[in-house]
Amino acid sequence: MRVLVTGATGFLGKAVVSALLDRGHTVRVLVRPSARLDRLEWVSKVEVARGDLRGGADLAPALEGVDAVAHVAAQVLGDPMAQFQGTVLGTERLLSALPGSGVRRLLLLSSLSVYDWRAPRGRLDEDSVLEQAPYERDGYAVAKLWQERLCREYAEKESLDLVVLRPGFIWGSTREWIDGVGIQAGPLVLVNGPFRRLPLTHVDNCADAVAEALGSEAAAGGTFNVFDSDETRAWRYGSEFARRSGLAGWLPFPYHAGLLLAYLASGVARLLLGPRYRLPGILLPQRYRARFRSLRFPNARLRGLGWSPPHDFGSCLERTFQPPGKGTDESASG
Amino acid sequence: MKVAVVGAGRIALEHFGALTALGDVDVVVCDRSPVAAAHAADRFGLRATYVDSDEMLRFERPDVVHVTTPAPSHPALARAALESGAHVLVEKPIAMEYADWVALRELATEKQRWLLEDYSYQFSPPMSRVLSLVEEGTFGDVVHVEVMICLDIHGEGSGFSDPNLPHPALALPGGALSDFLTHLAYLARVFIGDHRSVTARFERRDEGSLSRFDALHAHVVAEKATADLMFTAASRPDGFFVTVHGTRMRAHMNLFENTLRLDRVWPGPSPLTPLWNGLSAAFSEARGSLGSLVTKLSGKPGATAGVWELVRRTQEALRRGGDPPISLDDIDGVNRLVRDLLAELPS
Repeated sequence: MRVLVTGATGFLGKAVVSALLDRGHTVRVLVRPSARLDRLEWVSKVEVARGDLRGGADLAPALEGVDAVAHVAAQVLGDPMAQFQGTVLGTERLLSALPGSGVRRLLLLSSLSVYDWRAPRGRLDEDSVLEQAPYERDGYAVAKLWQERLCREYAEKESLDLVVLRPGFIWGSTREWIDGVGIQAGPLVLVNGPFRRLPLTHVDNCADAVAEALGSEAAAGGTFNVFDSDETRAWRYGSEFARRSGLAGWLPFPYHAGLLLAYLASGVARLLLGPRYRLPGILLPQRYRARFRSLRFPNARLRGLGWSPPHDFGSCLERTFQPPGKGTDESASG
Repeated sequence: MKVAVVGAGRIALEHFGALTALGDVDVVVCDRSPVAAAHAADRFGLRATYVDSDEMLRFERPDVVHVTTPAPSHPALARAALESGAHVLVEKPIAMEYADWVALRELATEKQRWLLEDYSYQFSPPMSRVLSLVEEGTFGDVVHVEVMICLDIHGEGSGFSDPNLPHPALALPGGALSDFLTHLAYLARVFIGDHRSVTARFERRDEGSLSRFDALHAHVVAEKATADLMFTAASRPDGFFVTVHGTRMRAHMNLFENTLRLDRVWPGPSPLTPLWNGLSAAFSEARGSLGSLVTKLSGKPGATAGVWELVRRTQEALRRGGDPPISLDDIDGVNRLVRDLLAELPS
């Protein structure tokens, strides 16, 4: 199968390309015109299409002869409008180039951000309710919700096979810190809710899940949360991170104390500043929950495809916190 | 009042916010991107979305059209809106060529419709305060104005630094500076009036710049006052500084932060004047900085407050039968100044 990968020079995209090559697929990468690829290990094994999802040259040539698209690209930096334009309008351009291309399957990398984190009772799975008040969240959640909506409407209208993956916190070399663990405070890690289970997926495991879902007939039309497992507790990751990063250590911080603080801060802000007040995300209850809420994160649906993460937590730690000089090359522009 | 906003990009958000804050305006949106239009409608509670502006004009017959699309499309969209019988507010620059503006002006006059170019910073809180002082005579006569934009157009995240998605202005003779000339021109003209002569030096200081020019120093001479217009991409932190020198007062503004400091001639012994002005400046700076922070935390418009005020004044004047906040003569004066600045570009 020939697969076009968008966002191929990004943190996850690079690993997705490797995983697809490992499974014998022919890979074409869509990279921005100015992207440097010379230091990427797979550059000689892929076809390269130059283009920008946000505008410029027609994307149709990049889709010629392609059977499936792994749409990994997303704008994660910038203000909410930049994220919307980069992620959603970029997806709209990609979809507008699909008719007549021969693409049969679109795999969309979405996010756990699309869920309403107030609603679940004990567990968050693919049937959990989506965020109903996205504009109270953040630009990333808004963009991901609109991106999914756009793809689903298109897939229904054009009878395209759409597979949606919603990964948890993706970690790996160059992205060792996980926001869902807590807060880094100088030489210490404050671990929020130390006994919480973390919805983690290592970048290499997540990429493997992408490759699995892309090639699976059983995945057709499905939505899958991507977690390696939910067995890793916040304290475990926090302590490993602190130890392997040379920090002094970690301290526990109660989840409910932080939530109470967020409610107090937002209440005072509403009183003093009006209904459109702005605060750092961690002081907004809805964002605090999306980052720290204690839930179970089953991955039964993904495992139902026959997938299991190729690397366990211990080996993922070793792959992530490598001694200097042995890390993955991350210098190419994305 | 039915208002159509054509274009659902970044600046359009300010128009949606300003219009919906008025409460009794029926707003529709048109954008070539269906999802951009749908997103704007969902977020601001707009009544309808369109992807074709001609269809929107035919079907909705709006009273007012706001044109917030990229600059090259402004003249054609403004023309179509005027032809449909709507008043039109166009984001700056209203036209890339002076002749296109003249044609729009003739059409607006013929149709007896309002045509406004968005001079947002002219309606910002500090500018409104200084213009009031000038109008009531407290400021004295304006003798000189300095307008200086310090903006890192080469930095990551700037719309002018992405080689993969070049900003439309980069293709213009003035490069990125083309996007700022209108701001410089209207902020000078509102104080000194129509210009008599212009000298300008456009430069490219950063060799890595994607823009043909990234620095400007212009001197403008009017009948009773002068102005210096400057742009630099090198000075930090970013700021939009306007200093107005009057015969009785001097105003220092940063329009990115909406701060204002006034120096004045105080009664009493003249040696004490610097002391009073120093104390006044300290108070103004503290109040301005705190106000800027509160504005950001409260989610109110900061640097874009002028857009909201211009939209409010336009709507109010239309309802009460007053004059438009910006006249055709104002726009003509500004566009002639921009034209003459561009004429100074090195060949």
